[in-house]
Amino acid sequence: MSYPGRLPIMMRCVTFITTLAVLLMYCSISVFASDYVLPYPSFMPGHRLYAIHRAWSRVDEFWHFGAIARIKYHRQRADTLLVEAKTLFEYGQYEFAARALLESNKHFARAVLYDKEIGEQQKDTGEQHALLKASGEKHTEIIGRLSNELPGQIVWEPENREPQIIDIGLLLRQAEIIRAFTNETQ
Amino acid sequence: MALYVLFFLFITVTSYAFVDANFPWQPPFIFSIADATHRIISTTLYIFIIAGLFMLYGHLLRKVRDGSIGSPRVWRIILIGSAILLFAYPAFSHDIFNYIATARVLFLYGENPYIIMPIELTNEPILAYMHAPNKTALYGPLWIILTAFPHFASLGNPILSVFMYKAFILLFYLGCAWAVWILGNRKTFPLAFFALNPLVVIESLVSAHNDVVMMFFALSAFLLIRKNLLVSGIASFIFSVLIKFATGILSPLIVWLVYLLLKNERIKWNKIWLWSTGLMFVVFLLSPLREEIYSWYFIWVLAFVALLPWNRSIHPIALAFSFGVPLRIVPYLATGSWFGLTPVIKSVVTFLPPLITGLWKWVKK
Repeated sequence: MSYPGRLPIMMRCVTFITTLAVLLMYCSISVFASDYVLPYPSFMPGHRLYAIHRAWSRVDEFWHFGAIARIKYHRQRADTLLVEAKTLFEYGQYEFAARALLESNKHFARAVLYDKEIGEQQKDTGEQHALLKASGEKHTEIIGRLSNELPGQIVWEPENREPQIIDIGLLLRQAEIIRAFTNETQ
Repeated sequence: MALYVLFFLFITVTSYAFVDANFPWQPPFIFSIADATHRIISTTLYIFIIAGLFMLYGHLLRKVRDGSIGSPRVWRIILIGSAILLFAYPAFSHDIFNYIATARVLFLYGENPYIIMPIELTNEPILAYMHAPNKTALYGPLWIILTAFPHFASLGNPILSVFMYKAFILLFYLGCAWAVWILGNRKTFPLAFFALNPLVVIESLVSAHNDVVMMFFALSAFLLIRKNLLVSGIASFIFSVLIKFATGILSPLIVWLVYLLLKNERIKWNKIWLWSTGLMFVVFLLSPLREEIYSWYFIWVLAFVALLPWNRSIHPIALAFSFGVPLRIVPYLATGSWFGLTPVIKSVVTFLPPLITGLWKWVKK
């Protein structure tokens, strides 16, 4: 049995798709890792996609089950939020910056707990700990820089709300102490 | 039949010459005559296995076509072959160890295999002999869930787990053969064409690739739809896609089939098989987008070609492909390198046999 008129069309489609595939195959990019690198700033508070971005991060946490996946998740979130805090501090958005820094601290603290769990269960031979330590060192470097540049305390006066004191010095000190925990675990 | 049995026994014994040097069990010294340090012997053995199986297969297909061999005899060869080859070492591919490792990542360590690579679990013993530890799970979620059966049945024993996974995949191979037989209106030719094709035999029964699992659900989908069991058919199709994604390309065809059935229109099944063949062939050719053309991917095409009435172009070209693609591993076996001339030879052996067959058919016309 033959199928007149069918195969040529299919063959033409196949030729086109194959050519496309070959072209795409050769368009690959190589990435090389170096020192511990923090991510670029992502969506900032006030951006219309910020809420979606945050909601997605929460969903993503459920996808990262297991101690190694969780340490990766919390380390990356701590990195992203520290970069967010740094950027917001630089733009004088102290309230948002303080909130981002507190959240970064929270994620880093959780990462430290998962680091301990991985160590206890001997899931790896210290790779995640080394990464978290490198991340902590990079964070400490940035926190140190911020401590030198920023005032210890500011009075934040938002519109239609009572003024509040933001103790930047204390927040940064807290952040430093949490990062130092990576030296104690494992 | 006796020759087939002898050949299956030969493959099973020979496969132990290819046991990984780091595998927890090592065969007796005599098997090392064909290990990685004796490349000429291992390459010759492999070519002999492929060529021998094809000769037997060609002879059998001729007998099936002239009616001297019926379905019961073909089934007997399939069942005996399955029983023998279950005990073969997965000699020509390491993918079974990826399946085992992925299941261990999820069920033993409680980690998400789509995020965590086996190499990150640096204390894991399978890292010593699996060959792709630096990859997150490549397969669909249903496959990973299904591997719970062989994973728990192997009781954590690395040697037992190889055979549990092989037995598990063997069941789907038999299921596929059964589905092809039923869809092919219980004719002997489709059954023999698919189930005894050397590519299908080696890749499903020796190397234990999960492609037959995906194809089992895909073929079952067509079978159920044909019996007007639309919901079960669609569910089976979704299961197939969730095994290895490739059958996703058949979605428009499934939608079209359901539409025709709901409108009570007559379905031209040969056209459905032809379109399925074409679509799966497109995915086969597109596979380098993901990694490269692996020989076992051609099982996707063969399952549907088997269902077509004999076509003077399609069947011989499909047979030529199924002869060529298993030879893609030959340059690696011979040289031990994936670089140099290996990629060129891989392309040549893949496309030259079907090209020659196509040209020959065209000239003969």
